[in-house]
Amino acid sequence: MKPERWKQVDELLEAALDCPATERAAFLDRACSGDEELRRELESLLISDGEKGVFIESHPAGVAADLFTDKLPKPGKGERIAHYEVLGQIGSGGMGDVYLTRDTRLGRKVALKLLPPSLTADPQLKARFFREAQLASALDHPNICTIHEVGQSSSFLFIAMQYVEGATLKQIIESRPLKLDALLSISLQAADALAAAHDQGIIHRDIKSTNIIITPRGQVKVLDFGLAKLTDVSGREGVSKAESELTRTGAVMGTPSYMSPEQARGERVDHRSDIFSLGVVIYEMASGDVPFKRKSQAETMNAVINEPHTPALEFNREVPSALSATIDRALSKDPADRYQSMGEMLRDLRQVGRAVGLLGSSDSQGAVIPYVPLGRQSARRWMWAMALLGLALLVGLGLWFSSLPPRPQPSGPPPRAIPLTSYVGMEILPAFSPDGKQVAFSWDGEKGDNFDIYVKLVDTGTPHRLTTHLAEDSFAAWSPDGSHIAFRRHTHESDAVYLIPSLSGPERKLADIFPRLMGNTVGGDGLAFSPDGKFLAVPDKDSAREPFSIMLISIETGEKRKITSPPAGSVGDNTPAFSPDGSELAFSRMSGQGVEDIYLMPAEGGEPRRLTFDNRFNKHLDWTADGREIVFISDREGGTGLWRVSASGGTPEPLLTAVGYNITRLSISRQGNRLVYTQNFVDTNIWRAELAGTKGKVSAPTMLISSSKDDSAPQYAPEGKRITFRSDRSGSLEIWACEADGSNPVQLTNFSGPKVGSPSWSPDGRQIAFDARPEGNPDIFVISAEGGRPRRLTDDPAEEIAPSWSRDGRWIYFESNRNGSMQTWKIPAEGGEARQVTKGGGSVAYESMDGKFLYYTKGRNVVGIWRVPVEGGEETLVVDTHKAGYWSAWTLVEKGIYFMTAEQPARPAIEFFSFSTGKVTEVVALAKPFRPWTNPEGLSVSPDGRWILYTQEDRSDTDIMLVENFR
Amino acid sequence: MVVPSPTEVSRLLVDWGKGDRAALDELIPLVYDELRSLAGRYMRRENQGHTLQTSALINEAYLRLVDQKSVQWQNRAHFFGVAAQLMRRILVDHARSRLRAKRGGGVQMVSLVESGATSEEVAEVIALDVALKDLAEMDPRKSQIVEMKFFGGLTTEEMAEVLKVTSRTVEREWRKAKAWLNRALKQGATNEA
Repeated sequence: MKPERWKQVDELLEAALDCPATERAAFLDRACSGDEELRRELESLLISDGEKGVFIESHPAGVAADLFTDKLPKPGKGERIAHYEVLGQIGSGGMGDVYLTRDTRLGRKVALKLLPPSLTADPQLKARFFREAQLASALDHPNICTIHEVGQSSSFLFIAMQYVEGATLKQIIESRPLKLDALLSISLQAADALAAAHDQGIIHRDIKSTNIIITPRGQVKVLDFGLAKLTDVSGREGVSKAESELTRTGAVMGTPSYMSPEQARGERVDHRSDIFSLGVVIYEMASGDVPFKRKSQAETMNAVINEPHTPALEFNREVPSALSATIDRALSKDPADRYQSMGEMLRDLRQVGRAVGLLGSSDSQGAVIPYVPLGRQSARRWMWAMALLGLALLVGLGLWFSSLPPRPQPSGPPPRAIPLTSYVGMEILPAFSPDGKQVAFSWDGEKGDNFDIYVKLVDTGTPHRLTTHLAEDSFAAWSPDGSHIAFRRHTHESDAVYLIPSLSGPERKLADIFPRLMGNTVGGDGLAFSPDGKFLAVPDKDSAREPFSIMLISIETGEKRKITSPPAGSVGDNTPAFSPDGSELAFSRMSGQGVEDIYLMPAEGGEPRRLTFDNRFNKHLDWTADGREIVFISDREGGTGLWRVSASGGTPEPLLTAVGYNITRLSISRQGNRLVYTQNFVDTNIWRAELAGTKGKVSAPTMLISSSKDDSAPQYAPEGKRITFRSDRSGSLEIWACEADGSNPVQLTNFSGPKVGSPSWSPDGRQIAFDARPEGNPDIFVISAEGGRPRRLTDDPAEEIAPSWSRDGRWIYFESNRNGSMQTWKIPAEGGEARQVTKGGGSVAYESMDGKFLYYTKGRNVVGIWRVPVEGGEETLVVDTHKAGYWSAWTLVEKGIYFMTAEQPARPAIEFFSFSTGKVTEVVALAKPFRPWTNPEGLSVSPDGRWILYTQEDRSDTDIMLVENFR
Repeated sequence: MVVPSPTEVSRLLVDWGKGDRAALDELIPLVYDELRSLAGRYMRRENQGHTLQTSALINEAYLRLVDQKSVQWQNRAHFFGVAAQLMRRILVDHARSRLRAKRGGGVQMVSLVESGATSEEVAEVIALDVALKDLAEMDPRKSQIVEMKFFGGLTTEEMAEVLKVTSRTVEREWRKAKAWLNRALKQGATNEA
């Protein structure tokens, strides 16, 4: 048809489609007016329009997938499979070919086993494959070849395994018996590996000498855990067509020589089948060949089932009788006659090891198994060595090997983190996309001026900026279908939750929420999408006085529903995270700053169940992909680290600690193998500014006390000759003291635990009070200014912080929430009963120089400094410009109050409020802005009034770290 | 294969957006290579069904190839438009070689999965490609819409952006294109039989 004609058809077709169906005939009569061809054309198009179901309506996905997946190329050198670059083929096993590849992300060599796509065709079989392989990948043992990843590319299912250099045991045996040392070392290592797997409920099912790799230094690596089941002809339950085809090919049939009789009969097998197979392998090492080998597979299987084996001793007289007995027992036809557990067999093997001197006589069950290097061809075999070198030399070599110092066994590789982002500025709050391929995060950009949401592919590429608003956008959370990202927008006035398409597009505001105060330790953190995509969980509240509760916001309507009710007086509930199946919600409940524990509750609402009992910083949690565990960030052992705890309770276990960094937020991919977290590096230093220079001249501020870490909270000693401060330069936050010029720093405390701080000098200069958290919740301690053993002053489950002395040295004021709200209390400096001083809220407090008044702030949420007579009475507001968020960055002198202010964020300064004039003047302009998440604790003026000390954040860097193969 | 730098691709996109036709000529092979290699090693998404989504593929190519900071979101739509065209080429090439293999042609391509649906779909893709060529001769815009939607998985809004028309126009055009293609494909099937 000519385009002109078509144009006519097209216009009329459109008009006809706009007509109600009943009027179309009339319309066509009019429009075509005798042009029958035109009418027929239009009629047939209208009929076609009314028909359904032509495939272009369907999603093209199926077509594309089929087109891409039915091809089975042999990958050539340089080709990529997922993020693995093929270097060459290194083997071909029953289940598929093995390639040496380079992991382009981590730069390491990886053995990649490719499995035929026929596996992918059958969803049941494929699901089973993933289940098995993932189970096996959880095995962490020095003698088990680590499975890094189980994945799928368009053409393959693949298993990425640790690349182990070495030879298969079969190659090493080469039809001749191994030396006893080597035999025992290998047997012990293999048995230990299998025992560990059996403990996890994993049966290998295909133990054979080609599945055992020996490294040049003699370490055993058992391969292919969990794969055998796929080829197992006996596993009859739910055998699908593809599966039986797979096993029929013969190539994957397995090797009947190593099969247990029950396996050969096609019966169900248990761990005792592995015991039999290991017996075969040990027999092979001892005698040079397997016990059952016939011309055909059927005959071999028959022999396995029915015929007795010839004792290994008959082939090799050097085999100790105890070892021969161990082999015989493992090779019993009836599983009930064998060792009943691998542990039992391991014990007997150890016995042999001790008897021949491989293991020490005091060797215990858990002791390390020495490796016997096999690299020396000349020393490997009995027969060969005897024939060529004679017995004397053989004994000599035997001694040489036996006397090798036992090598410490490397424990399984710990999860290793690599930077995912290392841009200038802060990349925070990462969240995996549902497919695990992208990470959304918040970044303050190259200029470090404004947080926006960015999305980045995990493997590669530059970040894609999603939001550009001037407000702080953070807490990205993906919708379960990956189409949208929810985030929180924070301005000075308000916080709100928004939705934006994950590929950019218009934003939609969903709901306002209570503004989260500046700083990441004061509560209100978090945002989570429910797995059904219907709700967002976010901490919210109606007023400043209430604690934060977890609210569910409906995506559809924006309506909120409160589902938790934390106790009054607490900070409240934060960092919600839904379990992968959506049934449960985990969150951290915060009773005070750094005092948090993890709770679980039904996602629908209900009574929360407490999971940790630490009273420490425990937050920013996420679920493992299997929903069994919760990974969280905790400072339970000093520096912040990643910990894991079973969702059903129990003792948390360490996952990863990053020394010297602050781990601040994590996300686990739903595929379960990747984890990201942010680590924050902050260098704060103590600066000194001159307040009153000689002849009116004031010198520029100088950095007085510095390290590459956190140095903060300075306080002059009463006579002004020394300074106390806190620092984590030795690895954990401790109290330090130095000379007034910053020289000669001495560490006073040695808690090696979580946060220690707020040092305050006694008026006589002999003691320093401070807060520390050896049990999690902070208490007040006192230590001699010369060091020594700290003395505990308070011992209350509440949060007690920020001590300061009365001018007569008899009392120590401190902040406590022991009666439910934060108030200033005082306690005799020598110990005794504490008394509440404030009633309407009280935080950091200082007694006036004359000892008559107590000046105090009311915590982060309330602007201003108050005072109350020490003897009791009405409180009065003294100055109201002191900004919340800097509640501890102030100090009292005789004539007034110095405080840090960030009223204009761009112009941070130290200001002075004069008691005599009632006016505020700026005294020091500060070089660096305050970061809301660091706390510029402590201002201190020298007794002569000349200097003021303050803390400045000189460098801050936060990057996102990626842990691959997290399990 | 030399991986083009994100800035290079971004520059080409921006230049093309300004009307530099030569930029598109440079862009096409880069995107084509990326799409093809991505398709070849595409990791199927466990949690989202077991399908290879062309739109996801294109999105990934975009994230890989383009430096997001230097392009506007309109450039993204254009990228998607080009990518859809390339996706069509890749899929159709694939389908044709597949068909040759089945007919015992010289191409050695062993198919291990022989599902009936697959060969049917293969034929459909090729038939659609032919029909689209016919449609393009009379009405290029409709052909492009089908191409973008079917092969590229573009949304109505994205197509509207590429074509500089309203979403409503895209929807109307799609409906008419579908009516025409339905008929053409059915006729084609009849002719073959």
